[in-house]
Amino acid sequence: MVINVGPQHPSTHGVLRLILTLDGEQIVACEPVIGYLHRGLEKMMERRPYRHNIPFTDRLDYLAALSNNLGICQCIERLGGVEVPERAQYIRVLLMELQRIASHLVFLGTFGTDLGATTMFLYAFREREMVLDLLEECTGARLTYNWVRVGGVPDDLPEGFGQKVLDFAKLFRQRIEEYDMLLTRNRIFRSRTQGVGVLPKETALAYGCSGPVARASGIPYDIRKVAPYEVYDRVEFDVPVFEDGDVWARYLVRMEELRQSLRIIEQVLRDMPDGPVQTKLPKIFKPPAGIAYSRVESPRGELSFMMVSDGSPNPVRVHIRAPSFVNLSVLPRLLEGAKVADLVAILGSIDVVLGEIDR
Amino acid sequence: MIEAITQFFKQYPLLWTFVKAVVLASFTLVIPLAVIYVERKIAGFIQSRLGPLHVGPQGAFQTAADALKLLLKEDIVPEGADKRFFYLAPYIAFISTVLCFMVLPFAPGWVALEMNVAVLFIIGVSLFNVVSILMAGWSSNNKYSLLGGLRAVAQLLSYEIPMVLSVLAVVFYTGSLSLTGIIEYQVKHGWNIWHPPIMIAALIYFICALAEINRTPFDLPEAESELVSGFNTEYSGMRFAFFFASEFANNFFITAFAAALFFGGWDGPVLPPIVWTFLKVFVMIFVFMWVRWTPPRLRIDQILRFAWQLLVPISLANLLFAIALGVR
Amino acid sequence: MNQAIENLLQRFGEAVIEWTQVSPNEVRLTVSASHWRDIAQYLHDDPLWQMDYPADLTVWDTGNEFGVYLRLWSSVYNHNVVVLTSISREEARIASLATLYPGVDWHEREMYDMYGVIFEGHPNLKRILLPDDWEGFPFRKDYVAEPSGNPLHGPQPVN
Repeated sequence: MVINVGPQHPSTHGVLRLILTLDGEQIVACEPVIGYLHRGLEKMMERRPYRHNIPFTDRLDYLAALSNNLGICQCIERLGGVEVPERAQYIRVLLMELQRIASHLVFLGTFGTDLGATTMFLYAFREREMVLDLLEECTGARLTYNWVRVGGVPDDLPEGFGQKVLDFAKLFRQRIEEYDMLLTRNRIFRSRTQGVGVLPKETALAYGCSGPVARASGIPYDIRKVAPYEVYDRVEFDVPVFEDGDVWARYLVRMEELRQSLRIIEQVLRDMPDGPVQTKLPKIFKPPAGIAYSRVESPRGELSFMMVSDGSPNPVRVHIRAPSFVNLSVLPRLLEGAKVADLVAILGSIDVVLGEIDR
Repeated sequence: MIEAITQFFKQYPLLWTFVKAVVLASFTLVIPLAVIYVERKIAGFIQSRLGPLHVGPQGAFQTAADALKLLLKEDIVPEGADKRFFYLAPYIAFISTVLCFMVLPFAPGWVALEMNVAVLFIIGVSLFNVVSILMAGWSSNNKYSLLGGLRAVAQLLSYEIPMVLSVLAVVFYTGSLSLTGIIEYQVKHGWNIWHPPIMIAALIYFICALAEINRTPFDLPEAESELVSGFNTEYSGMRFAFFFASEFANNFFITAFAAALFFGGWDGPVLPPIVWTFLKVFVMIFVFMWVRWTPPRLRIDQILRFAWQLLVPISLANLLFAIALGVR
Repeated sequence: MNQAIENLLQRFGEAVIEWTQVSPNEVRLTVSASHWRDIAQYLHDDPLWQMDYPADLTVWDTGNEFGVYLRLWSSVYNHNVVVLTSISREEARIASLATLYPGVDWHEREMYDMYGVIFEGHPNLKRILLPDDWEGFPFRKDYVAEPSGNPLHGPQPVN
């Protein structure tokens, strides 16, 4: 039996379509069909000056828009050799980690809903609302922030922002305990996730999986550690790595990352120096000819921008290596022999965002 | 006045039964409104939100408004559907629920059809529900509905067995197949729930009841996130309302049945019997909803394994236990 | 790293047109397209390289030729390698790495989709983001975006 999951389906988290071949409730083959959200962003970026492209990146991974902003800005900075003031680097790290918490909370909520625990959704979104309120106070937007600039950030943090973030961090530690009680210690939740959708380490490497998917399979691949950017080499944090490679491990990685993000936030707020937040740049920005790439650990994995410049104000080529795009390509392997009910658990645990898959 | 009306109907027993049936059918249609409202409020409480708020005081008329909307919606039949079965399925689901209510005693003498094999009757007619789900899933000509229908049949049939075995434990223990008889036994000897074999039976009944009314963690047949609500995906308007109503009426019935079997039915001090029945039912409905909004959903193979490897053997042993204790 | 680079240069000689060590753990190679697959295979297998992680693959159009960019990472040594090459626009063909690195499968399909580069030996080279009946390759610099060329149509039924 061939069954068509999506493009309109409550569990595909966007307009993803999977053509499943079933034998009863067993999945025999799976073919993902993507491109329903294709906007040709990379081509659009070729027609615009470098810095005009930042708002486009908000529309890639719309759950972690700040990571995308940072990715493209870093790429342009490397291409043009732009220095970023220290305070701006600290602010960037602070915002990135807040963004990571917000993004992982969406994962938690939707993952719970996929498995039938609808209450988790509302609990997770209650806290996400607080993060979004914080980010709104700083950037003025709640989803498409457009807040990182080439050579820094547009403005300093608002007054009293640090204290609010610390208050949130204190409260959020207790809330993580609540999630543990609701999901992590639930026998049914464990039996739905443990041993399901196992991704062996070799497969994860060969497919180029990154982010929590890779770390759940035993690959300690975190750009923040492997190739530290901004001030990640000055803060202390652990990278959770699990060996099992199943849905359960991917869930645990993200839960642990929530705690580690809080650790980073507290250290960053403690160490943040005073100073300017932006470097002065010429009105018309012309980087020298060449190729540059940047790597950012977005909540979904390795987000990489690659730019080719020929010395003119517009880039010749902008390429976006979207973590979800690569992580999704391993899905057919994960689904071989799985049950239909496992489909939503496995797909949910990869945590794809169709905006960056289709670009 | 009331005496005169009853006297009049007593002369025509057929007409009298008909009137009672109509009253119960309307009851079956109205009670879901209350149950759904309660469910929404409880869900809101558990999920730290408010639930319906604007239609009527505290949103009390929200479900009535929703029902009205469903009545006014277009009745869509998918192309390629098996029309006869597609039309028939919701009504069979509804009728099986109404039939169950026919033999349920709400208070002493408040029973539409006094039947000395009421327990067997209920077990029999409630199985029509399974038939209607299979009919709906099959006739919709939709693969998701079919999967939902098949899952429903596998699950409901598997859980029917331990459920019936645990009900039979009560029957053997009290020595009566009539619900009124079972309740009267409990009025004399204390509630069944306090007797060891029935305690286990009640626990098994509780688990099976969750499965029978398709509640999380057993809500696979209509798994929202996998099967897009399963067997009733293709239904709209009035037909969907019938499915929905019969599901929530079933929810009410299965708890009322449990109240009669385990908690002494109308038995209770001070308050009038009918109030006690409803009180027990709504306390149990609250527990059901509490469970529904907390854990995630199980997988079909896990559910079936649980039923056949755990519930069936335990309930069988428990049945023998009850027979041994019940024989006097 | 130095020993590894030396071995590579010795092994492939002229095929490595240019190389620069960007940082202690990153090297950038420009190679000839005819040795594309061999060099990738070598980087993957050689015990001093062990580039087992395909990080990225893409193509760009300068207007005169296509550039191809491949980025690899070694989970053993934490080394990065960027391999660059160029192919002609008229005869846009290059060996596929999809059987070597399954992770570049979708990248190659996307590049075929957008630039029309034929990856020889790819197991399933067809359009991925655009509809199967799309005319032309939209990321080429000479592509003319003309709505009439690719009219919109509804979804196609499956079985």
